[in-house]
Amino acid sequence: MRSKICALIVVIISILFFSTQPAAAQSYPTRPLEIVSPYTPGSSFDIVARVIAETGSKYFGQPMVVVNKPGAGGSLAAGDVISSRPDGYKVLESAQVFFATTIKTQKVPFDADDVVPLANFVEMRLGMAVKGDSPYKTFDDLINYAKKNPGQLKWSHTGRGITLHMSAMLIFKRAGVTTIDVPYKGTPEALAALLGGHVDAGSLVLGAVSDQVKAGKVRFLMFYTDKRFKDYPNVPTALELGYPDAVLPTYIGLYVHKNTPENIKKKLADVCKKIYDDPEFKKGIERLGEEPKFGGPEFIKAAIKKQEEIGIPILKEIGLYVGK
Amino acid sequence: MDTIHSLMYGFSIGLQPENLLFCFIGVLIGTLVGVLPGIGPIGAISLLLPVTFRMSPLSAIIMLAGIYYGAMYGGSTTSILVRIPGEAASVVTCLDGYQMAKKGRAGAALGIAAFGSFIAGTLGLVGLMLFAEPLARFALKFGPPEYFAVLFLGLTLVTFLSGGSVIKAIMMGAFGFILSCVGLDSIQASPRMTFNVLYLWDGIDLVSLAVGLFGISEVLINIEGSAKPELLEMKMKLGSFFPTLADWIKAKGAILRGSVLGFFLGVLPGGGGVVASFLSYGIEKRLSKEPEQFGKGAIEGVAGPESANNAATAGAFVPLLTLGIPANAVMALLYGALVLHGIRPGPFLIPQHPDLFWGVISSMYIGNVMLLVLNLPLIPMWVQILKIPYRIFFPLILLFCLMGSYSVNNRTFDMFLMTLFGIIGYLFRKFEYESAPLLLAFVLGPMVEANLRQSLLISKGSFLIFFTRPIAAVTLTLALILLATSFVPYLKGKNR
Repeated sequence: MRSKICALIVVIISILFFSTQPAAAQSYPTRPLEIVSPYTPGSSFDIVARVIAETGSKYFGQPMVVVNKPGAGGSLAAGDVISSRPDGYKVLESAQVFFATTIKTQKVPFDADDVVPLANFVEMRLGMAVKGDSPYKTFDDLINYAKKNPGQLKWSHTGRGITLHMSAMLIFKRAGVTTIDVPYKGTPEALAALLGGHVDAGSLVLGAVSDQVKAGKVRFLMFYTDKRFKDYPNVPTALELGYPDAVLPTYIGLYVHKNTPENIKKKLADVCKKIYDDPEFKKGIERLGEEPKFGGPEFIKAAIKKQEEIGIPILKEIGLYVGK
Repeated sequence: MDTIHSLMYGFSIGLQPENLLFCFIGVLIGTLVGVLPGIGPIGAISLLLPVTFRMSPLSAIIMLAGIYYGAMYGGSTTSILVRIPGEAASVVTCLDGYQMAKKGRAGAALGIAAFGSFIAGTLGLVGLMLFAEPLARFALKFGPPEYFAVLFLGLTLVTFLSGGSVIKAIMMGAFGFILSCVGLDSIQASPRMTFNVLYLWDGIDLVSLAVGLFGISEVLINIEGSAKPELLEMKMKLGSFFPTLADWIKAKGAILRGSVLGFFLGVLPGGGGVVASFLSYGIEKRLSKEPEQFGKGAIEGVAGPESANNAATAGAFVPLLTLGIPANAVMALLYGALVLHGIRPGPFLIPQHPDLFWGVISSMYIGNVMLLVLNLPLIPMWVQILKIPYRIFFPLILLFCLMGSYSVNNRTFDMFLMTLFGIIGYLFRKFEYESAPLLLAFVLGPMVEANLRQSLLISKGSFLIFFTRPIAAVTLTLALILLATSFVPYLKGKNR
């Protein structure tokens, strides 16, 4: 037993030691890579990072390790990568939403431009849902109820200032109804509130509740997208329902320190494409219930810009904007 | 009948050599993780998650679950021996467990913790097996007002957590509340008391706070006291390693109550082991005929909380396996692990993967037996550790504490925080302010606040919402009565 403890100590110390060893500059990569993930283990972000890491290890010839630095809506993870050596061994997992809007609700000691996008991997599917046995069959039913009962409609989301909140806020605003939004800590709590009938609707991540949808316990009334999803052909999009500016997708991608040498950036970008094309990666993402979606740096930059245009006015309106 | 049949089927899976092996590895790692302060089950499971990719989903979950409930067994060890909680749910065990150890009864404390955990774990499993689905539906009935009422009831126990002055306990509770407000608030996401330090955005970590207040302060006290604290001169008698009959008589009620309480709190999202152990302690002290013995080595104060946190682990599986709602961070990790293996916890899990559901349940029975067999022979060895000279022992303890607080979020800042709280905790003890009420309020604070604000959002600011809903109304009334009675000694003029 004592020797087991000793063994564990040795392992831990060597992990700590190893992670601070300086990089050998020759043929990159010569040691394991880290993906710094901005949310807790077990979250959708974490699982996506682990699927990427699992496939990535094959193409890098070095293990990819997921390190969780949850906190401050992703700023602690971003800050960690930005303050580390730009040698390509630390890659940031983040969403375009973070750079476009989240960061503008905080006073952080770095710039969004301090990291550059490598590639996008996943589009999270978000939408407005009700309980399976709810009397509201369509989104219009929900709006009609809200119109007849001003300020009575209660809906759950997972934090003010994030996409799930902003899209729904915008839709209700455009529909001209006043509602009560009830923030919860995470999807599990927001889902429980919906299933327990404590709220009338929920602005939710499909991937996290898709089983409830299949079991008929949760029904989506719309997705905040411009195109219908193949596996949910009957659920209309925000665009179809007449809320084009509520189309606020969340893209999960990888980013790297802006001062990373060009040849390393190129290698990283190449491997990202290989990871995405690997059937194993797609299978992993589909299991998770999310949508694989590839895009290069330009795609991500455009997405950030679009999100800024729509998101910042909303942030200002709800009083969360601190600028940068 | 059906259940027994299914359970037999489960055992046919759980007893396969491969699954037995992973179960054993899981509970062994869990025990170690519990023993080492700071390195909690969350850290260990996330480190080991990649390893499980190569296993079958069932073996993976058996092993990861083993780490979780194993840690609940091991967590008591350092709480009792050195007053450092091995994981957050063992914080209260420090109160009486360490006092028992000081009186030379470390073996009895460790023993009752292990047996209590075993009984509670087994009872919790019976609950999980028999009532999983109805309980999950019941838990959904708890909306923000009901949660608030239950949490408020929990908070009133602050006054029972202290051996000394009620006023001081309430002050410490208030301080805990304030500390819990640091970071982004859960409703507006606006920063509070972050002093422009990015690391404070997410608030103060429970491990840094608890290990600092309890563990580091104890090391400081011991260094100050003398190089040879009395504890280490204690003669260890072989016969005293296990609880006596008298201990059992005292502890049996606490174990049973702790099991039931822990299980139900485990089922509720956000509850889990930490809250359950605190509440169990408060209840035992309230029910005890000699509440003045609490904090001085009352065995009920070890038996109750340790049982409660183990039963809570079984309870936490209920919403995960039946609704797909993880009740706490460890369950979220297991959820992630299952998803990575292509299995989605939720309404389809039991019909589609009966092998997994019953296999995991049977493995938890097996794992609990393994833990008992593993832990009892270790007790004499743990007690021997106390004979290590303190000048060698305390740097090691500090090292473990630092590593532990670092490993929670992989950040250096937590080590500074822990050190700071160690010094604060030392001062608290010098001035006879107790840290337990602070920690309870710290744990409950964010949940109390979020549920209060959610309730008031729903009711548009009307406090009537708490009295128009039956569960909330009864619970809150009970809490207010309890709170009032704790001031009775003051009114009588007895300064207690």
